[in-house]
Amino acid sequence: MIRRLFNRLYHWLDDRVEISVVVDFCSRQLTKPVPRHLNWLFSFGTVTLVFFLSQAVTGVLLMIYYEASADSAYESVRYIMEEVRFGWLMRQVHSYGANFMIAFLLLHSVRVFFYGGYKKPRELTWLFGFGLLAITLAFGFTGYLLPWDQLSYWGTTVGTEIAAATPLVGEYLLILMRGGEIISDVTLTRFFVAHVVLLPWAFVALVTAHLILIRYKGISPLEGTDVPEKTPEELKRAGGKPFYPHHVMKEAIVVLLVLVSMIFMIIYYPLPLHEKADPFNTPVGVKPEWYFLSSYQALKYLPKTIGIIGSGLVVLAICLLPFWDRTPARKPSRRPIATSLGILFIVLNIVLALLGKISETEMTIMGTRYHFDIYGWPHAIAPVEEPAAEPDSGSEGAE
Amino acid sequence: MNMSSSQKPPGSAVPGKKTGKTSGKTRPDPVRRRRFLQKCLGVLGGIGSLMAVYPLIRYVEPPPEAEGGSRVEIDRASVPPGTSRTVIYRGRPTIVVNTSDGYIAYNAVCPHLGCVVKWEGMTQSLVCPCHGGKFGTDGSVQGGPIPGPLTAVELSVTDDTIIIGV
Amino acid sequence: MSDRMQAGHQTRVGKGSFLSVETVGYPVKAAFVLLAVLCLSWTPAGSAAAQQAAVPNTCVSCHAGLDDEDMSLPVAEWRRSVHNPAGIFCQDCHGGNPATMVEDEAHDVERDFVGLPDPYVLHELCGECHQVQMENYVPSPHGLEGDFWPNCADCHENHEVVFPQASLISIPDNCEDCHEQETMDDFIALTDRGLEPVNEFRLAAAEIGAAGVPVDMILAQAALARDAYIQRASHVFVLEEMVAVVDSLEQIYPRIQKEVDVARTEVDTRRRFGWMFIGLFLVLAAVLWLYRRSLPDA
Repeated sequence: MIRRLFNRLYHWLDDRVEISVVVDFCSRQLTKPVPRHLNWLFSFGTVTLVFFLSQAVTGVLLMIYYEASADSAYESVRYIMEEVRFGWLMRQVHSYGANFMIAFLLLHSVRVFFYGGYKKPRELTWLFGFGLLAITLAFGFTGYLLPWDQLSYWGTTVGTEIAAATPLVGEYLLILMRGGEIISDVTLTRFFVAHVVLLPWAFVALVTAHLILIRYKGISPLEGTDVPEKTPEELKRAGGKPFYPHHVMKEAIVVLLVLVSMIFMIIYYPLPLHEKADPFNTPVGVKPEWYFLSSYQALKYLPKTIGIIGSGLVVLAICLLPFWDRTPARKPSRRPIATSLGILFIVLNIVLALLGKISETEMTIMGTRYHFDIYGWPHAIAPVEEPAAEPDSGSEGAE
Repeated sequence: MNMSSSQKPPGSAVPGKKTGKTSGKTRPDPVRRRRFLQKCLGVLGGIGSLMAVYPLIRYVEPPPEAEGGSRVEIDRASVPPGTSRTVIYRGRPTIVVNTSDGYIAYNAVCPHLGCVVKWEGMTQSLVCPCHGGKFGTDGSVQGGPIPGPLTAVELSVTDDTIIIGV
Repeated sequence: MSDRMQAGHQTRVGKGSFLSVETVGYPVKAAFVLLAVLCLSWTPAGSAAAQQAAVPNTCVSCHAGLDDEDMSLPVAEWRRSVHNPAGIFCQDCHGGNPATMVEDEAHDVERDFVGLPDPYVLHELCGECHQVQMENYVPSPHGLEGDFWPNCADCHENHEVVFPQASLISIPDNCEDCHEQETMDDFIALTDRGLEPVNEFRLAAAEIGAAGVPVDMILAQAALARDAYIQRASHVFVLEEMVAVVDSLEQIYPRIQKEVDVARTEVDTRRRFGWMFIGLFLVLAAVLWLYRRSLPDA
């Protein structure tokens, strides 16, 4: 019955707007064979896309109650989390979703790097992908300020401070980003506009181009760029499987498992909302979000200008990777230098991020209390003896 | 999302031959098995969608009022005898009148077409500015195309405040 | 309050200067050798700034190394005390100048240096901050009536001031000279009865708050109850008065408990809701997996 109704609707539409052309085109694209070497690692891009859609939905919903002004932003987020039904869920899905999206985007780009997916003729796909990474990080950066709590306020302060180190235009950039000397109401509204208007549309445009290119050029093969690429028919004969349903199922399973882990995190380790932002009271140990931590930490070790130019060059090198790495080989084992450099870069970033994480904290290791300075370097404070019994919180008990 | 869409998976038209080779001969009928799994997916996907949509709808619904928000206190001095004051109580405009017989409070939304009524001291009545509706101090209709009386709102009075919604 | 904590924190940053790198334990050292290679060449760039930010305290830096244990031990004791994180330093009780390395200047009587504060007016010193406690203590049996004995330090220690606990009521050799063990047990039991629920509410609130459910009301009410206890029951040392206070508090506790329960239920509801999704998604993933395996090779 339903199928008959559906068929009639389809024919009705087809008679009028030739929908069959579109449907045929789409189904041909969907069932296009993908190479045999596609494994689970090739689903990270889709995971990212799913998170983007989830961010769009929850983002629009959060905007229903959110108020972008320094006076009421914090209260409105609190209101969402405490009064609105399922408001906690929306905010958690949105804030965890941001972290997951960035994580999987990074994994996706690492995967593409190691499989040589950026090489000829897919340089443009890489460029668009790089743009998407930049936009996503900008999403994270602008969105981080919006709850207007202490952490977001001061995290954004140190984050924007980095821009000030840019030679010549640094101060100007900083003022432009903040809309003034310090982070204020003005900053909040411009970050908000970027976060909910500019960035989403830029993302949609780029992701469309990215996906069209992927569909059009097909998934990158493992053979080098000097071997002519297979046509879909050849791929099929070589054991390639159709994108739908074979690979889509794989991706759907990965997406579901990632969502499961996110839900688990949400219900057991929800992200907190801290105290309201106070421009006159800097909390100790302010740090940016984890995805900016490694560059933030790297900048500590370098003189400002060198650091900012250096990291700018690194970013530029990554962006233009397909244009200077023009060796034909794609398999990681066939290009040991690129592979080891890649691994080194990732390890360096992880180490820097960890150093950034432990810097300006205290920890007890093997019975000695250490303070880690801003470089993540440990200094012994005092051997730990019996900790003062403190069933209650903080020093207020002394009153 | 819904995997059991009417689109058949490719290959369901050419059943069995290769599948039997790769995924074990013990399975009786791969096509039927696939159909069954497709149905399962459809049902689970449907449940999942409903479960996901539920919080969305609940989220968009107006949130429950916070405790204490169901009570409005106003200063007695701000409503001298013979005057009125309109405040928001439970999200609705509510008119408080200091009549000669004491305080009265009504939901100020006219039952006719939703305009907000005003107190007219001269005639000792509540008047709707939109279509000439008129109500007595007891809320009853005294004129105009009004379908029903105003809804009274509970109030209590202390020494210096009027509490709406006891 | 939090400002104070920060102040204390920053001071410790300063103490852990480069000298103390020598005292880093060997295993940690080994673990950081790799990182050290990475960082060493750049490190000195900003360390001056880090040291500048810290306030030097010469009492601590000098006394900690003195051979005479009577003179050095107080530093170690103070480090373990609640006064350390709260930012209360030597000079706050002993006076003197904490910013000079010259011995005579540091112990300048002109700057109110006192080696041993007068035990009979100790409560006035402590009472500068702990006002409520002093006000209750002075008219109490231990105050004017008892000639200010025992004084604050007799029960709370002088340097190693830790968070007060009911066990302080019966310090061995301290109370039993005058009081029967039973009397003290009564006091302990009463204190527990009055304050234990507050502690439980706070612990529960911390747990619930971490699970994302708002606990502001619970914490506020617990704080109110605690304040009421401190203002009216602590340091009065008269059992009858304390019983009245605790009885009135026990009227309030069920109400707070109810809010705790409501919040707990909310946490459980959220988790159940989440687990429903997790279960569904896992089943869906499993079915997808089976479905994918049942697909013919194209």
